[in-house]
This record gives sequence, C-alpha cells and structure tokens, in this order.
Amino acid sequence: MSTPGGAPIHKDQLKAKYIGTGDADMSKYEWVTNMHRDTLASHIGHYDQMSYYAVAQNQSMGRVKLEFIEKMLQPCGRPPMGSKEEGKEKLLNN
Amino acid sequence: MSSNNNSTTKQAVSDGGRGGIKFGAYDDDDPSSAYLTPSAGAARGGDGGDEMVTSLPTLEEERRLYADDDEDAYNEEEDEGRIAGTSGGARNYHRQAEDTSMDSNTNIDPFASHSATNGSGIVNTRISDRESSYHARKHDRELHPDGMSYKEIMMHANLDKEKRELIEEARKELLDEETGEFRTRLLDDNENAATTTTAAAGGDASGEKGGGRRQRRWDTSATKVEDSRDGGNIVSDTENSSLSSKSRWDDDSTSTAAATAAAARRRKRWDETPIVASGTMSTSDATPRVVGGSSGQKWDETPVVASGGMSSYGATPMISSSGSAAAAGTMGERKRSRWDSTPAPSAMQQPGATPLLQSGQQTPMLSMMGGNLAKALSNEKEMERRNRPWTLAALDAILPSEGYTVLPPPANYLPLRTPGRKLLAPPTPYGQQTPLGFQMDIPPEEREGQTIQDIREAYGVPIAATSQELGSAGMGGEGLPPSTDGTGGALPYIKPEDMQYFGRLMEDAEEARLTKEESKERQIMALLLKIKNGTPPQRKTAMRQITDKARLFGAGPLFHQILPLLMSPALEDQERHLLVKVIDRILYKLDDLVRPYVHRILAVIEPLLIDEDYYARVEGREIISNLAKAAGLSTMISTMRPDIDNPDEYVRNTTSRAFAVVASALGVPSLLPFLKAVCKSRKSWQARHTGIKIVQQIALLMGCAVLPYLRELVEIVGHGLTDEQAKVRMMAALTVASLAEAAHPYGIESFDSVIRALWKGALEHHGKGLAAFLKAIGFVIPLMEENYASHYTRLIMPILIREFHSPDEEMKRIVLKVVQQCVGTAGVEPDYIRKEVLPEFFRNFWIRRMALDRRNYKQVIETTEELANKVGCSDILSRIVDDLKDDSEPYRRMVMETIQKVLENLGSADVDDRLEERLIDGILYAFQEQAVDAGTSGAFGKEGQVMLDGFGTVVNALGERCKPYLKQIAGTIKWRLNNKAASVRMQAADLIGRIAVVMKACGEEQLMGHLGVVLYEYLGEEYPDVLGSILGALRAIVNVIGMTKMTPPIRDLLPRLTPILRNRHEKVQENCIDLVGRIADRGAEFVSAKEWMRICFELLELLKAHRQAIRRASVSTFGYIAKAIGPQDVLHTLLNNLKVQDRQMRVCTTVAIAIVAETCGPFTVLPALMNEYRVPELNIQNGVLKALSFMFEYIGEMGKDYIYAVTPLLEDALMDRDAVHRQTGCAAVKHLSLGVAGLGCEDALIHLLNFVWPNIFEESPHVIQATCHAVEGLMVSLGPNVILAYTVQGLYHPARKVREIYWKIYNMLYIYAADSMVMGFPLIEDEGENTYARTTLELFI
Repeated sequence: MSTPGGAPIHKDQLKAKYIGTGDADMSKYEWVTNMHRDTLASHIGHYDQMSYYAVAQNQSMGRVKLEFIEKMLQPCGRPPMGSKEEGKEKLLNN
Repeated sequence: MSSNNNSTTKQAVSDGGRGGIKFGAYDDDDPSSAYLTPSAGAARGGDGGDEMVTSLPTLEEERRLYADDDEDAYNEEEDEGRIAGTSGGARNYHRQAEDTSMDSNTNIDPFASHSATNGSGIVNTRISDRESSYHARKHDRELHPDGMSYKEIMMHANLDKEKRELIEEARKELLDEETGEFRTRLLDDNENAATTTTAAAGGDASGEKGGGRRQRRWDTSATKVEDSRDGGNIVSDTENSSLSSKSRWDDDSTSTAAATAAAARRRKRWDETPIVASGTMSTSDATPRVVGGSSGQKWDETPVVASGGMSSYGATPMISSSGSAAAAGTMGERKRSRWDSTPAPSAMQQPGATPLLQSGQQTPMLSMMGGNLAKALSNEKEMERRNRPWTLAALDAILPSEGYTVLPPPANYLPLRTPGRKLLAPPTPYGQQTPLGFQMDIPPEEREGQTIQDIREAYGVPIAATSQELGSAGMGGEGLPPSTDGTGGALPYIKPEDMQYFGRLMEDAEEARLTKEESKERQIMALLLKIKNGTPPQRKTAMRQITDKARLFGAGPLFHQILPLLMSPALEDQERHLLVKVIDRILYKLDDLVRPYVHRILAVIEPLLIDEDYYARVEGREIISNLAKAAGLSTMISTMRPDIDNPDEYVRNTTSRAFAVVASALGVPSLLPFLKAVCKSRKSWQARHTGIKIVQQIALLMGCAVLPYLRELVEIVGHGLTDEQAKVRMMAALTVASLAEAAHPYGIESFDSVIRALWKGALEHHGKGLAAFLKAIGFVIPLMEENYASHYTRLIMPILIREFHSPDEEMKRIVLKVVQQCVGTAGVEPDYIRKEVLPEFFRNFWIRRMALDRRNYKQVIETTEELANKVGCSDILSRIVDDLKDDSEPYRRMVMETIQKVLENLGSADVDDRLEERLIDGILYAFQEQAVDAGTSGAFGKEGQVMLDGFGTVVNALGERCKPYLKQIAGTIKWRLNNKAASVRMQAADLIGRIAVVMKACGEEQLMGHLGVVLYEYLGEEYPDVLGSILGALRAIVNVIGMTKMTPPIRDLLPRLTPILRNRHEKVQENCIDLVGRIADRGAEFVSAKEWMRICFELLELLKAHRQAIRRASVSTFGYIAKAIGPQDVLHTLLNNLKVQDRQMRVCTTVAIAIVAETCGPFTVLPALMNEYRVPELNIQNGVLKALSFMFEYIGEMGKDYIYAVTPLLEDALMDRDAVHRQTGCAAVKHLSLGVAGLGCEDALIHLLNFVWPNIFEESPHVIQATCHAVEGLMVSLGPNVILAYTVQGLYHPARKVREIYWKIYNMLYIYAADSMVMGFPLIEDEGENTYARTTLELFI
C-alpha cells in the first residue's frame, strides 16, 4: 500500500491516518458504518448539499448539520452483538 | 597496530588475573588527571609509558573545546591528522601498503602484499584496528549488573564517588608529606591491597562455611580485615608481604581490581570443588586453570586460543563484566557472587576478552614493549611462577581440613562445549579423577598420532581438511558447521576470531536433548552467524526470521548474544552495520521488553555516536532514538543518570551525545526539568559539565528546532558561565555559542540573561577560557539588533585586536571567526572597520605562515571576504593583489582564492584601471608560476582548481575590460596547451571553457576561431582527462560562436569526433556526447546523413555507460539525429538493437525509441513499432511494450489519437502468458490512461480495464505493483466509482486472498477519492435493528 505521494505505508499507520480504510476482516456493520459516516461528512462538507437538505427538510442548515453530526455517532444503530467474533469464526472455518 | 594487538594478547594471557591490579592503579590516577589542565595532562602523559592513555583524552578535550564541535570539523581534524596517533590503524595501514607496494615487484601475487592483515579485503575493515585509543575506551566501560534498582545504582555511584574523593585527598596528603616516594609507595600499597581484597573475596565465596562476611567499606573493624586477610594470603599464595604498613584506603582503592583478580583466583581454587560450580558453569570451570598454569608462549601466538582462554575471566555472566574487570569500583563484584546466577555461556565468554586486552596495554607492560627484553622475560617468568596451577597437595596444605569436602562433579556436567575450548580444557577430565591434578599438556601438534584435523580442531580453527589432506590423513573433515535447529540451509564459514561466539554451532546437538533455552540460544546463534557472515540471501532470510521471532526469543537471549558480538575486537564495518541493523529491527518488535537491557545496549551503541564514520554516527543515533521510543523517557533517564557524573570523561562524553539524541526523539520539553536539575547539581562538577554538554549536543543535533525552548535552554546553562570550575565555564560558553548558532538569526531575547555574564567572562578570563567566551559572544552578536550589535562590536574589538597577536593557533581561528561575525552585522560602520580593524588584521593575518595550515587558510579567507563585503572590493584587493606575485605558492593560492570570492560577491565595478592592470598581471603570474605536480599524468588537485577558478572568476568579473589582455591570456593558454605535463594541458583547456563567454563578449571571435583550430589539432591527445577537457573547451567555443562561424567547420569537426565516441573514459564520453548532441541539435545540416547514421551506431554503445548523464545525453542525441535525418533509419537501428541480450541496453533503446517518437511524432514510429511486436520473441515484444509505455508517458494528451490504434496490441499483451508482458502492458495502460484522462476515451479505457483487472491476483510483486498502478491510472481517467463497482464484487469474497487484494484496492480508492465514492457506495439492505440505508440520499425536492 502506498500513500498518494508513493511512499509505502504500513497497515496500522494506514488505518490511523485514513480511518475509513478496511481490511479483509472487516465486518459488514463496520464497513457500512464507515460508509454512512463518510456520506454524512461529505454532506456536511459541501455547502450546496447542506442547503439542499435544509430546504428538503424545511429546517435550518445549522440544525441539519447538528443532526448529521450526531448521527455520525452510531449511524446504523448499535453494533450487532458478537457479530464480529462470529463472523471471524465463520471465516476461519471456511 | 596488529603487532600491538598481538603483544597485548600475549600479555593478557600471561598476566592472568593480575591485570586488574594495574587497572586499579591506573584508575586511581584518573580523577587526578581530570583536574589537570589539558596541557598539563599532556605533558604528564608524555613522560611515562602510559602516554597513550592519558594524552589522548586531553587532546580530545582540546578538540571539544576549540573545534566548532560539529562533526564536519571533527572529521576534518581527523583528515588532517591533527590528533596525532588517534587516527589509528587506517592510516598506518596505508603507509604500510605503500611500503609494501614498493617491493611488490618481487612478489608473485601483486595483491598479496596489498591485502590487509585484518578484515576481508585490500583495505583493513576491522574496526578495532583503526580505533583511536580514545575510541577504544568503550571497552573500559563499566556496567552495573542486572537487577539493580535505580536507587541502588545511584547509591553505589555515590559511594564510589566518596571513595574517589577520599583517595584523592589522601593522595594529596601523601604527596605533601613525601613528595618523592609517593608513587612507589602507592604502587606497593596497591599490590598489597590486591591481596587483601582477594582475601576478602575469598571469604565471601566461602560464604556460610568460612563465616567471614565480606567487608564493604573501609570503615570496618580491624579484626575482620585481619581475618579475611589471612585467608587471602593463603589462597593467593603469592605476595603476602608485610601487610601491616598498609593504609586504610588502599583496601578499597583497588578493591575492584583486586576483586577481579580475586574472582579469577577464587575460581581457580574453587572450581576443583565442583559444589560451587553446581553444574551450570562447566565451561568456565574448565578454562581458568589452564590459563593460570599456562606457560603461555606457544598458545599465545594463536589469537583464537588466546581469546578463548581469556574468555574465562569474564565469567561474570554479562557484558557488564567487561567493564567490571577493567575499571574500578564495580558493585557487581561485591554485590553479587557470580556463582548464584545461571549465566548464558556464550555471553559470558566474550566480555572478559576485551578488558584483558585492555589490561594488557596498561603501564607495566609498556616497558616490555619498549624493548627491554630481559626484563620482560623475567616478568613473564614471574607470572608463570605466580600463576602456576594448584595441586591437590597444595590445596590440602593450605585449606583447613574441616569444613571442606571434595565433591564429585555434578551428573550433568559436560567438560567440553566447543572445540575452540578443547585446547584450554584440563587435559585430564574429571571423570578420570587423576589425583595429581593439572599438568602442562603437550601441545597438540607435538602429540603422537595426531591428524591435521585433530590439531586444527584443538586449536579451534574451523577449516575443513582438503581432499588431499584427507587422503593423507585418512579421516573425515568437518569444517563447516552442520545445519541445525531447523533454521535451514548450511551455515556460513565461521571466522577463527568468531569461534568464541559461534563455536558451539560446530558440535552436533540432538534436538531432543537440548533444553528449550539451549535450543533457542542455538537458533539465535545460527541466525546471527548467517546475518554476520552469510551470503546476501541467507542474511536476508535470517534477518527476517530474527525479526519475526524477536518476541519469541525474548530480549535477554537476543541481547546476550548480539551485544558481545558488537564489542568483539575482530568486528568489521559491514558486520557492525548488519548487527546494528538487527538491533534496530528487533527493537521495534520487542518494544518495552528492552527496558532491562537499555544500559547495555547504550554501552555498545554510544561509541557509534563518536565514530569517525558518518554513517555509523547516523546509525547510532537512529538506534538510540528508537530505543528511547521503545523504553520510554523515565527508563532512559534512570538508566543514563548514573553515567552523567561518571569519572571517565569518555563515558560522560558519549552519554551526553546519547542524551541529546533521546531529547530529539522524545521531545526537548520532557527533558527540560531533568536537565535543569543536572546543571544545578551541587555534588559534582562533572554532572554540571555533562548537563551543559547535553544542551550543547541538543543544539548541534536539532539546529533551529531548539528555538521553541531556547529561553529555557539558555537559562539552564546560564549559571554555568559563572561556575567555579573552569571546565564548566568553558563548556557553558561553548554551549551558548552552539545555541546561538542553532538559533540564528532569531532568539536574541532568549540570550538577554547571559549577555552580561558573557561580557564579564570575556573581560576576566585569559587563554582558553577567553577563547570560549569570545566564541560565544561571536555567535550571539549576529542575532542582535543593529545598534546593539554595533555597540558590542566596538566593545569587543579591542579585545579581539589584542588577541590578534596571540601565538595560539586555536585562539587565532576563533578571533578570526568572531571578527567575521561582528563585521557581518548590519550596524557596524565601514569606516570604523577601515580605520580600526583592517591595518591590524592585515598585519597579523596576511602573512605566509597563515597559508600553511588549512584551517587558518580557510578562516582567513572567509573573514577577509566578510570584511570586503563591508568595506568594498577595491580596499581589500589593493592590499593583497601584489601578493599574487609572492614567492610562496600556498600564499599565492590564498590570495587567489580570496580575490575570487571577493570578486564573485562584489563584482569589479570599483576596480580602477591601475588595480585592473595589477590584477591581471598578478593572476597571469600566479597562473604561470604554478608548480607542476605529479609529473606528466594525473589531474591537478584542489590547488590547480583554485588557480583555475580564480582566473576564470577574475576574467568573467572584468568582462569586456579584459579585451586588452586577451591576446596575452590566449598566448599563455596556447603555450601551456603545448606543455609536457598533462595536468598543465588539462588546466589550459579547462580555462578556455571558463573564459569563452568573455572572449565572445569582447568580440574576439577570430581569436576563438584560432583557439578552436588549436584545440582541434590536439584531439589526438592521449591522456583521457586532457582529451575530455579539450572536448569541453571545444564545446564551449561552439556554444558561444555558433555552428556557422565555427572553425574548424562542423563538417570537419564531427567526423573527427565519431571515433572518439568509442573512448571508454567517462570524462571523454560525457564531453564528447555533449558536443555531438549540441551539433546534432543546432547544426545537423552541416553533416551528411551517412555520418549521422554512423554516429547512431556509436551511440548505441554509449547506452551502456555507467554514468546516467552519458546515457541521458546519448538518448536525447538520438532524438536530435532522428529529427535531423528523419526517424526511419534511426528507428530501424534502434529496433534492431532490441534484440540484444543486455537488459540495460534494451531499456535505454526503448527510451530512445520513445524519444524519437516524441520528437518526430508518434505516427512516424508507431507503425514500425507495432509491426515489430509481431516478432515472436520475448525480449522484442517486451521492448516494444516498454517503448510504448515511455512513449505514452512522454506524449501525454497526444495519446488520445493513438489509443484506439494500440488497444488491440495492449489486449494481447495483457492476456499473454508471460508475466513481464502483462506487467509492461499495465505500465503502458497506466501512462496511457493518465494521458487521456478527461478526453473522452472511456470506452477504450473500460475495455482495457477489463483486461487489466484479472491481473490483480498476480503474486509477483513487480506485476502486482504495475497492475495496481494501472488501476490507479484508470481510476483517474474513469472516475473512482467505476473501479469501485468492480471492487465491491470481491470485498466479501469467501477466500481471504481475494478479499485482501480487493480491500487493498478499496483502500487505494478511499485514500485518493473518498468524497466522490459517497455516491458510488452500494445500497445495502437493513439487517435486524441496524438500518443500513443511507436515507439522506433519497431526499428530493
């Protein structure tokens, strides 16, 4: 793996630098959570999109933004219990 | 050097345990010498035999004081050999080599005489042979043993310090009373003390049985001392002289030395009572007796044996004992009986080896080296007598009959571990229980019925018997160690010197019978051996294994083996590099597990910080920085704290450097409180000195990164300026200088607090102290505001001018530097300088003598340059220009260089006509009067370069004003071009290159034409260096006057160049290809196409050149030629060249094809190129693909016109069975896709992506990398979501291998384009209580 500059980057460093990256052991829940967070972050980052959502929901942009930020905490609800371990075991068995 | 080593080895063996006693004596001397001024120390060192030891540290002190203290200065000093004697064996060796080369014509093998006595090549790479004795002090390093807490260590350090001070006081008293006899008396006392402590140690070892608890301090009851003393006398049986006269402190002053001696003795005695050994220590048990009783001479000559023998002494099971045996006051010896630990045998062998080597260099034996043979012999005899073996009868006689039993050896006792030790083993194993005990063995080579292999084995020489020998001796050879331990592969050859570390690999060991620890140890040993001596592949694998298994092996076993290896006297550069690399790698893995070993690692790595080799220093820094990160700040501080006020200057020096590295690794702020405390230490000036030195090293290491903490750092060292110790004051001043230098040009406000102290110091002190303060002021002044700087400059200038007369060279240099710095500041008026400084300055420094020392020379030039910047060019020039005609050549050079610098900076605007004449006259004189060096061949060195540069600069600076003189200059050049000496001709030709532009500017085209013809005539020159310069001169002329006006005409010149292209000399090639390329670029029409084709063929050869500049020039020349005569013929030649075997040639050819395609348009090249792909030959097809890849890289956007044309070809390549096809195809796709991004070629690109994609499953790293790059390129041109759509398919594939690569691509996409992927993520259905739908995306108005 390498950074955009071309310098090689270790897996752990990669994860530390780009939190949304994944690996072969990533569960569906984690992946989708990342996806949601990226989506929300992207919305917040683009002014035009924010104004679009504000108009669509008939709320102020500040409130929409707050909602989005709060939603990023657990965008997909609580993590499924033991799903990761189960998934890992299943993979190992395979 | 090597002979020196041998003799020390010899002495070490015959000296036996007594070496330690001398050490004690020496160390007692040391603190006193620390109080002496450097010069006094040197003087003192000069008189005695211990010159080597005492004089060098003082020189080192001096260096630290006066050199700029940065590493370059250090190196320079080394280069110039200022530190006489420290430069060590390297230079000695060169001298030796020269000597031997003189008579080498009588030898059959010319290189035999050149190959170094040590190391593995023509140059002696063994580190210990070129170490200065200061560097070698790393072996004296004393280490506290394992398991001591910080508190204990500090307590012992304090006790030691107290003890030293007491000794010091007592010594002074003694000195007062009976000045004359003091020394002899003390020596006697030391010897006595040795016996006493031997006794004491003996008492300790006997422990509960003997009942006499060992005395720890000198304030003990007399009876007990008497008690143990008696026991000692019996055991040592040597010199139980009148003990009553002994003064009390002697006991402890030499206690360690004595303890070491005692340890050796003790062991000798007790080993025969195997109860003490308790089965764990079999190896060391065997050896010492032999050493004790060895009559020595024969065995000493074999270094392996000697070191093997010595190893026994270091039996304290750690490297730390290397210090403990050597230096005074080791707690370990007292604290802990060596018997109650289970040492790692390999680790224990090593450390003892070094200190004894060291001990051999101590004073008593120097008399022997001095050539006093009779005395030496009698010495040796006495040693033998003293160290004669113990017989049972003697033991019976001297030991009490009660309380002792003779025990049988333990059941698991193995008398022999390695063949290397077999020699030193008791000749009659315990199994036989020979009642007579030890007797001198017949040396193996004299025994009857010995085979060659037996003898070799006995001597520990691991050379396999040759088949011839086998035939004669009729036996099987087993030289190379067998492969063991599942580490795989045969082990590399073990050098004889390494037998003590790796010897055990030679034995056959059954896996099953080894304990877990032993097998671990063997594994590590095998891996280390492979890393140290193995082939590159072996090394690579072993390195990986040792890294991967680092945590499994554990820190202890690893460092127990690695660190002794690093201290080995036979270590070579490459080996050290590799071992350091191992430490670096395992540090990462071990992380906090290294904590217990930090001190030992530091003791081994710190010496790297003062190594002569830059890369060794860098490696050392890296290791220490990693170590600090792994172990954490508190561990580092508590480990290094005791070394800060170590009595040994060497230890303090290295520790301060290491601390600076720690500070830069963990951040300066975290270390500040500690530094503050250390620099205020009241207890010892050494601690303050070291603390301040740490700050200095931080400044040197971190440069401007100290700025955020500058105020704190300055405050920390500030009060050192008024310290009562002169050394601390000087160090503080030097540190302020370093800080100011690092902070330049900022941070003057941080120095406010010290300016007063500095100023007072400069007024009060004299000599070296003054120099340090002046240096500090010199560095602080440039930071000041204008008016302050001016003020202080005026204040300081009288002092500086006073010191202009100083006879001290160092002072002169510092004064010059300070003048330079003061003058450089903005607030100083030129008039003031002109009136006050210049006359004195020129009177004192512009004298011939200053030109002789290189550093003076440089500093004078720099200062004069700075003065000129202030007062103007002509003021300075008119003062020195007439010296260009001085008699002394070095002085002329100094003048020339100054003129060059001044004119470069200031131009010649204010040089008037008269000065101009004098100047030209002077440079012509200086140029012509150069001494011709080194006969007829070879280039001028730096000296010639100075004249050349100076001449060139003056002429260029004067520009058109040179016109009247050009004829004369050209005449000189022509005359010198005809000179017999090659270097003169070369210089003349080079000068033409320098002044060609000015000649053109003066309108002297005719003259240049004339010179061109002259040069043309000299093209037959046989010396390649000269030929290269002539070509360079021709090129300069061609460049200036153009192709049409050139004489000789281009059509004559070029054919003359064609054969020169074949010259293999790099300088010739480079200049020639430059000239040819120039002509091809600008004047191709003057030469026939046929000639150009001929040149094309010659150019092909140049593609093989080693030098990149040549290859690049020839490749671009292909482009020019193709442009001039059309691409067809050139292309034909190049395509044919793809068939050759040489890979580099093919690669360069593809580059040339691509360049031709770029210059002549791709359409002229592509048809032929694609046609060539039809040739069913790997190399050609790959070449074509590579050429395509380069071509698309060069043509960029133009690729959109050709993408549809090449797609079928790339399809084919990407589907080929050959991986290189696919790899190169991917590279082509990458460049293609990047070039056509946004130009509407998505259809073709998606098509290509479909062919690229399957290659992501490739295993080969090159192919997979190329594939990933292609995917990245396609991501740019197609957008990330297209690739994401491909990627999502495999993210949750059941096979891990598949998932891994897919996630890798996913991550790549994410890193490059996370934001754009938002719209491309797949829709995922909700699952249980988790909502996976991204509802925001479904909102619409």
